[in-house]
Amino acid sequence: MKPLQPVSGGARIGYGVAFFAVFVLAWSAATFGGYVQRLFLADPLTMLREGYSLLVQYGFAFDIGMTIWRVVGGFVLAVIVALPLGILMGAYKPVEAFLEPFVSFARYLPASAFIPLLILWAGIGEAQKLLVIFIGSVFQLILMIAVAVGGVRRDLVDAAYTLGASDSSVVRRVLLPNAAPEIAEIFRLVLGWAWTYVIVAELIGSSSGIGHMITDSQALLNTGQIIFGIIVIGLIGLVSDFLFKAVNQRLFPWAKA
Amino acid sequence: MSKLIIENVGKVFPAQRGGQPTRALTPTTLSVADNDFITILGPSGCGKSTLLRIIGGLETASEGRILLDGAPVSGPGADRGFVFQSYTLFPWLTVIENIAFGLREKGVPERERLDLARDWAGRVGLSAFVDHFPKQLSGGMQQRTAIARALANDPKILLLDEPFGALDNQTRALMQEMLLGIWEREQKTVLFVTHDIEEAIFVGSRVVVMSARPGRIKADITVDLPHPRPYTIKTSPEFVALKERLVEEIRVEAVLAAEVH
Repeated sequence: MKPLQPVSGGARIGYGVAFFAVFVLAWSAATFGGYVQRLFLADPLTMLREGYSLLVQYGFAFDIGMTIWRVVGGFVLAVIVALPLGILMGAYKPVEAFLEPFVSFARYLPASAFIPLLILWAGIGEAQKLLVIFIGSVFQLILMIAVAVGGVRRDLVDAAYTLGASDSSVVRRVLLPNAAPEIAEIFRLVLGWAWTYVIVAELIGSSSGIGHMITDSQALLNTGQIIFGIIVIGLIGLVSDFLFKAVNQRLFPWAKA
Repeated sequence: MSKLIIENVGKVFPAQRGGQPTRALTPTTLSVADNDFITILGPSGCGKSTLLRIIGGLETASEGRILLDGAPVSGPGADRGFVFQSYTLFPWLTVIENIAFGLREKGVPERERLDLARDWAGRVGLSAFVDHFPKQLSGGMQQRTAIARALANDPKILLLDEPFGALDNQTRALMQEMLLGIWEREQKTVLFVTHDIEEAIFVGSRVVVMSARPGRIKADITVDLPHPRPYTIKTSPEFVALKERLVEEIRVEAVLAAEVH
């Protein structure tokens, strides 16, 4: 193999699918071959059967819906707060100097560590779940958006000024459109992280959601259901990632080479 | 009367990390007549770009002042069009939207500004590319768009900072002819910075030669070649004689600059 040599589109898909196949094969070999006790790891077929009964008999679709709504709700709240703050920080250096140290500190506070506190404050209802997602995403979003907005090429800003742009139009007509594709990419990334927080939030003090199902299944030693839940999360992540990429390419045709 | 007056304009860059402050430009005086095409020629790092950026308002002078139509210049503005050496089209705007950028800033209604922009795209030979994004254009096309974008604003003076510096020789020659053609038709006051001697003579009516750092004006030579100038003029005896003289002037400075660095 030559370093950095590209692969064709078809081969790329083939390789990608092949790894999934290898993974499932190894899993089947370990479980059907009896190398792993069924108590600890269900085989793929059991997993599918359990998943089917979850969906048909136990209303798992509702749990999936709840989890999606929590992730999206908390994430949208975080975006509403982070977008204006990030833009202000990226565009205006005094704002950056004022907020950056605190936000940098706050983003290292683990969202999951706030769960006991949030339960005290907001109970175990939806507000608490949304707050976990919000805390987990908002500081990351602010910092990354600020970097994207502030990372504009200086000569583009100079060019705008020589064309008679005012300070506010430099922000509106240069800094924002310039950062837009990167901000969309940041949304895609942070939404992925938000998924890990929601499950943690649902593991503790919850009566619905994928995380709740997973804790219930643990009590019943039903590893098939647990694995099915985890795979559903992975699939939703994959789909949302794909959608984001497709939308970004449609919205910003000028960005990619 | 003078369109632009540069009065004792100098630039000193402040000291960094306890070093000495650097003087980039000794106080320079120059006056530019209306509709004149002046090329500023000098070796790299002679402060010619610094001078142009001060006129454009992108940098502040350490001393002296600049008057445009009698009014002092402070900060960048639409009355001075600027074309950069680097490609500075806005990547998210099409060619026509790029050209119309300044017109929108002025509040020209959409229909009118798109008509004007389309007209300018035509004058730089890009009628077929108005809906292209910059990444779909060659370097030469991008710089033509940048020139159209600056001129669509109808500035009092056009400032060009080595606009063809990154282009290959053939494209560069074509761009020089195009720019000269526009100037001959539109009658604009132009200040053009370059380190290419042939380019300086071919497009300019007056060549200002700058010395090695710290920059100062070393010679001010009128280019007495007729207009319109076909590219064949580059081989005429008058052109060659002028070139020889400038090669000598510049060589001394380049040698000095090489010794300093």
